[in-house]
Amino acid sequence: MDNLRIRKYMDQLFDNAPVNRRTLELKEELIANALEKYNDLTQRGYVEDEAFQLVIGSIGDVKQLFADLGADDDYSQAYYLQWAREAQEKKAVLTSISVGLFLLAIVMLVGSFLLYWYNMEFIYIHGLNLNLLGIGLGLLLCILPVSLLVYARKIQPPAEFDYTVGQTALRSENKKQRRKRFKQIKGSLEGLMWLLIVIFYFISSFTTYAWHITWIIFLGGAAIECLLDALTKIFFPLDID
Amino acid sequence: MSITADIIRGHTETIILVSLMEHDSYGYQINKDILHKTNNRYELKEATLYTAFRRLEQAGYITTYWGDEKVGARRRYYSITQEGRKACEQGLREWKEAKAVIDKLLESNEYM
Repeated sequence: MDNLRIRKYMDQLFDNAPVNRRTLELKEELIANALEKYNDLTQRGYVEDEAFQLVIGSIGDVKQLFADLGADDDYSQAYYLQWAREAQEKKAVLTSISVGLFLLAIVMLVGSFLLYWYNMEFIYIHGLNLNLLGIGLGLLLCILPVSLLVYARKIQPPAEFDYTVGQTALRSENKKQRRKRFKQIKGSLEGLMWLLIVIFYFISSFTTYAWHITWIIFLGGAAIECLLDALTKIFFPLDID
Repeated sequence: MSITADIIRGHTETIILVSLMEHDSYGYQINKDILHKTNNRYELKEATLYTAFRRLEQAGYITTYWGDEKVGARRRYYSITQEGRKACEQGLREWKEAKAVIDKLLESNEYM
């Protein structure tokens, strides 16, 4: 079939066209109409070669068409903004799940450690060392949130549109607003974290009476804060001054 | 031939709007209509046609949607909007006025 020949010709024609969704749609439209014209011509008795020449001869100068497509970026901007919003939501969900799992892992690790400290010996249930089991599970549990965070980081815009334009638009559009909100949220989350740490400190101290060592919880809290700070700098570089 | 072709090209947008007045259509169909109405003498270059589609779309005169062809490549249909109908009437009025003026200017020549 000469269908392939027409498709190949269009591929060549669109070689220098800007890469975005509009161009792809235009190409699909041109191919569909060219194929229909080609089929009409061959049915009316034209030889395949003649029909092909007639079809490509009537296309004309497409350079101007491409210039229009490149100059008009509203479409890819809107498309990118929509994508960015969806990706942001997805990233937020993944990050919250990861933080939750991290906290669970920390509770398991600290819990197992404190349990050993309190009894000064390992606890066995059905021959299993509960303390080491807790520490092992806690460490294993860290793998999941790390993979989730790596995955969230890997979310990239689809290749089919020119996103550099949309990206700059997105950045200038709500950079300031986002920074302000980000700071507020970060501040209140830090406050909440320290409140929880203080509560945890008193509960564990009063239940274990191990006052001489429970102060170490605050060191852990400071370490977590540093870690979260570093993570936000890695994952939200745009939002920090 | 070239004057007629130029005039047709100069009125691409109105020609498209007129053919969309009756029913939704797609690029090749519109070009076929032009061929048919001009006894196979004129048709628009694809580049001209699709540039006009994009301009009309941006102006809000037409909207576009993809057909659901079961066989072969899917077609991209165009449909005229309310503003498009107004623009079409405006274009026709302007053409009639231009035609009358050109007629007067060229036919009033007493040496013909």
